Amino acid sequence: MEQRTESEDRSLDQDLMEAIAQGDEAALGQLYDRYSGLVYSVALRVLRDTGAADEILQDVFFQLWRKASQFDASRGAMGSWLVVMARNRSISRLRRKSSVEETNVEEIAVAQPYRMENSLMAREMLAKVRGAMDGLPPAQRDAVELAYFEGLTHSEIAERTGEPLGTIKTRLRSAMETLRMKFA
Amino acid sequence: MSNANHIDDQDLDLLALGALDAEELRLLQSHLSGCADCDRRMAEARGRMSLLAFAAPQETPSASARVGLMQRVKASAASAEAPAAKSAEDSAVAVRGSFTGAQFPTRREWSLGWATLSVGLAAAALLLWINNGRLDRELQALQKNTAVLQQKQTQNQHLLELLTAPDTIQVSLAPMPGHPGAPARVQYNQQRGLLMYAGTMPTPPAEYCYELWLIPTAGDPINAGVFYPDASGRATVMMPSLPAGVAPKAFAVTIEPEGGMPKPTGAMVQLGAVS
Repeated sequence: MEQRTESEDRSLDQDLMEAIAQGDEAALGQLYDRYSGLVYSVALRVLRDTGAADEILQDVFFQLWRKASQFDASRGAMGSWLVVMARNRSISRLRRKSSVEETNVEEIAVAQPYRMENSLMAREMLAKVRGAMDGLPPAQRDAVELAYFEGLTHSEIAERTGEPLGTIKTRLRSAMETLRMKFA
Repeated sequence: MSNANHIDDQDLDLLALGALDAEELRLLQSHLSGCADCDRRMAEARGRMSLLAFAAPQETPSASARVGLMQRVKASAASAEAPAAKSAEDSAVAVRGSFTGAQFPTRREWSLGWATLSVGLAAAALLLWINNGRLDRELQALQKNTAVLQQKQTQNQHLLELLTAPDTIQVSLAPMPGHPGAPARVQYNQQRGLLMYAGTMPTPPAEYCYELWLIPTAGDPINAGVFYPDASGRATVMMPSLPAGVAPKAFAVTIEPEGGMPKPTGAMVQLGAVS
């Protein structure tokens, strides 16, 4: 599995999705095994509750099962798409409201050049992302985590931390600039 | 917004991050709906931001989550046959129907018959091949489910052994001064290396977890599992992997960075000595 190229990997996801659209439960199991760790980790980080994270994990893959025929591989990478779904659902549940960018997540495009399923390359990506986050000044890192894992907006972060709104905006912009360069 | 009325990358990243307030959000979404270039770059921004998922501690979901999903899928799929399989079956029926004529065939009809038969055989072979692959995958899924159920059964057997064995000891853990939480208890069987912890704890600080330790009569503390309380505060550790035959002096719970540590590093929040 570790030896697959990027295009082979995308192709495998696409093949699995086509099989799932035909009602192939084993294909769903394979896709689950590839991405469940990542989806669960995001849900658990947002919700901090293993039971609730389990529910989000099942909901995301059940939604994928029901909407497999609508998944368009040209509109995004499977791993990113699942992460976006998991995060949005988790934050909605956490805050009991839809505070995230889109609600109809099945229709959104997510361009992602990196592999995110359980693989050596994903582990390298994990180290890269953690390195980038660790390299941010603590205040910037906290602001990014409050936005990403708790779904807080600029104003809400300012209110939570007691910092001026302008300061929070500057921090997040600087953090985004740094992360964009490091993820490139 | 900048660059000839296009949205700049920073704003797209902030939008994907979910950090924009309602008014900014409305303005950008309004532009995105009519700008293919910004929409394409927005997809890239979502991809970048989705990488932040890796900043979460990577955890493994419980085996029961997979079983639950597959049960839910089976329940939903029970009423729906895969359309492809049905159409393939229809084709096979149609081919079979072409051989039911009562008149003896002419030479031309024989040729046509053989050609039809070949097509029919090919279709049947294809159908069998598809079914075979599907059955193989179903078998693999069943084997995985069986493994999960066996694991659960083994855990239940161990729990029963732990709770009924005469040499199982029960140790009460009390909160350390200055730390909230109610007393907890550990049941431990030294001969079998079986352990269960149950307690009620507050949520640990962000990016931290609780870690249970078996403190032996000789040697370093042994990690007996990392845990988080559920929404109601209940916390359990069931059958962690422990060596058999370790004589305990005490059990303790510390606060450790997410994922746990090989040796205790954080504050001790509960302690219970073996009497």
